[in-house]
Amino acid sequence: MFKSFRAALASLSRMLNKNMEESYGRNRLKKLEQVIVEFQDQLFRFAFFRTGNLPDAQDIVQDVFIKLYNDTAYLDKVDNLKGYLYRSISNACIDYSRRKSRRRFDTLESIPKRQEVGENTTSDNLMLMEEYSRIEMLLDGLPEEQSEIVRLRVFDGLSFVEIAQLQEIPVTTVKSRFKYGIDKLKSKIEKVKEVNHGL
Amino acid sequence: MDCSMFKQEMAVLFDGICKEPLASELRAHMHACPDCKADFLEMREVIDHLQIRHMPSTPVSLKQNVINNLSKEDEMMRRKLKQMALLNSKIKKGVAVAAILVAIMLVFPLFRIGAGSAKADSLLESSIKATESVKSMVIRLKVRTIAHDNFALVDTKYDMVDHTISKSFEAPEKWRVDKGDRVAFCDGMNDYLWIKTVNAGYKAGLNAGFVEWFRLLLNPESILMKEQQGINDKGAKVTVKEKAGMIYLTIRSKAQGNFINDYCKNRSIQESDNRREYVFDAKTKLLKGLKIYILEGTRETLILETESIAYNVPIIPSLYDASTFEGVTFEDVNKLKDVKSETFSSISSKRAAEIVFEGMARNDWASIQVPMSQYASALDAIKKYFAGLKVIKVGEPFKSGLYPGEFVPYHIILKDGSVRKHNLALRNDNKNKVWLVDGGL
Repeated sequence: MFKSFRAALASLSRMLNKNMEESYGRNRLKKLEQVIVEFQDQLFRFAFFRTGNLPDAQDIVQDVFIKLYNDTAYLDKVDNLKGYLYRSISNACIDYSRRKSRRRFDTLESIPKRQEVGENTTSDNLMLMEEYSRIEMLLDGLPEEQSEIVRLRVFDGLSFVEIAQLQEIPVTTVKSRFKYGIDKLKSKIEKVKEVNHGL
Repeated sequence: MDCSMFKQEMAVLFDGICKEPLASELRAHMHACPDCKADFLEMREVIDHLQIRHMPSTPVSLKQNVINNLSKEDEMMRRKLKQMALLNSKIKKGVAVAAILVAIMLVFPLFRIGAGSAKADSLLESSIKATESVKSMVIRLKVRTIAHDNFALVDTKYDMVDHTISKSFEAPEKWRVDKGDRVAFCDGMNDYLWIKTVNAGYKAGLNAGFVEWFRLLLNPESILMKEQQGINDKGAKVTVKEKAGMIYLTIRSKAQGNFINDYCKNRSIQESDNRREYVFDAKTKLLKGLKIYILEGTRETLILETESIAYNVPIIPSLYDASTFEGVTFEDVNKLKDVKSETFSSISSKRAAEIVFEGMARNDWASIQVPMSQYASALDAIKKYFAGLKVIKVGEPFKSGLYPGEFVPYHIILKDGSVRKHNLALRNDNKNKVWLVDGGL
């Protein structure tokens, strides 16, 4: 019995060694690079329109990719990679908002001061911040569960089925929350129009 | 389909994937019912209103930062695996059990968080709150660096250089970092950089990155926030002690970056194994001092030390005024983001370095205007040294540390006969992937 136990351990050892070599082989980085190229734009956009801050959005997306690499031995075998990434980035943005609420520079006016130029020029940054403010103002006042579904569908291009999987709620709930959200926005946009037209 | 069903299901017309036959039924009803069509059009108008008009460009450094961060970890893991394989071949008895134990250790790395982390977290939280009342700050410090070189550059073999950091927190925030031969400042609208040795000035939008790592020191709230986040990182060890009205917080961190080639190892604080010692006033919780040591084996070298940190002191407004730099034209570096060149975007960094040195050798500066565009305002000074040089060798490029570009080793002889062996730093993390000389001349 001891002999067979030892043989089983040896076999398990070989298997672990083999698995580890595969897991930590150079090709994993290449696979990750492919994943980054495929998803970085949509995740960066997602993070920016949740945080309103370019450098922080970059940090958040980088951390999500690093976590993906560290947490998953086989990148190509992650069940629903897109769902995994969106769930991770969404959680990271929620954590960010919690942390940010403890910071002092959290007024809208102060946000552009903390932008990094990066690939976005100064005028790009100003336009982006205006866009961020416009979207925030539009969605302000909408219940969180409705605004998040509107964001995921309209900004991030996720289908109702994908949103349902991400939020672990039925598709019918996604559809109804989307509709209620849009209905509320309808009256808000009408008011904005009235103000703009001086009525 | 009736109107109530249409209203209930209308949203699916705005789904990315609208399944038949439902979509056809909805469209058919809509064409037959003006009220429902009006509802649909209103919904579409709202969604059109929500469309994003300006998309942020993903930073080109994003991917490289992730890869750099992970390659080092991966390399260490492979070394451990090799050592383990060697062990397997030598030790026969009990090898399976040992391998499994090592394997379990590797697969589930132990995250050792210092015993003082909870206390440190609470201390940092208090200090972050304390800095909220600060209106201005002046930090005098010494750093082992070169007075005219990058702000991030440190090395254990350099002498200490005096630095002064001034910051006004009232909106719009203004700051200045002065290390003698290199000054960076912000007037609340733009960031500026002046390099005394070549009398060159650069200008960019806010947070242009001129001060590199020093950016953290400009915001005590930000440095404390970063440390607070870092406390839970693997490899960080934290201790907290209170003595004579002061609280001492010590954090040990591992070097960040890819050190398969260790050229950048210990060349900046982030790229070094280091120990950071913070001193806080126990009563006000304000940061009163900072010391940073670089750790190399058993040797520790003090690399940065604050001499004084003064809060709420008056600061002369002219410190932040670009017009006080007489005769200096601050060139807008944002133009470099859009630099275009088919030649310098379709070649390797090595070839780009060769072309740069060949251009200097021929005194043909027009041919290397693009890769030298970061040095446009300092070109006269560069020409004096490099015009007519002779190229001995240009080596193979390598990456190191956190630097997003590549280093190309070179060996040249200047026209005064002096030999120069160094690494040319080139980066192409701009919009059009054009190689630009970034340092190492």
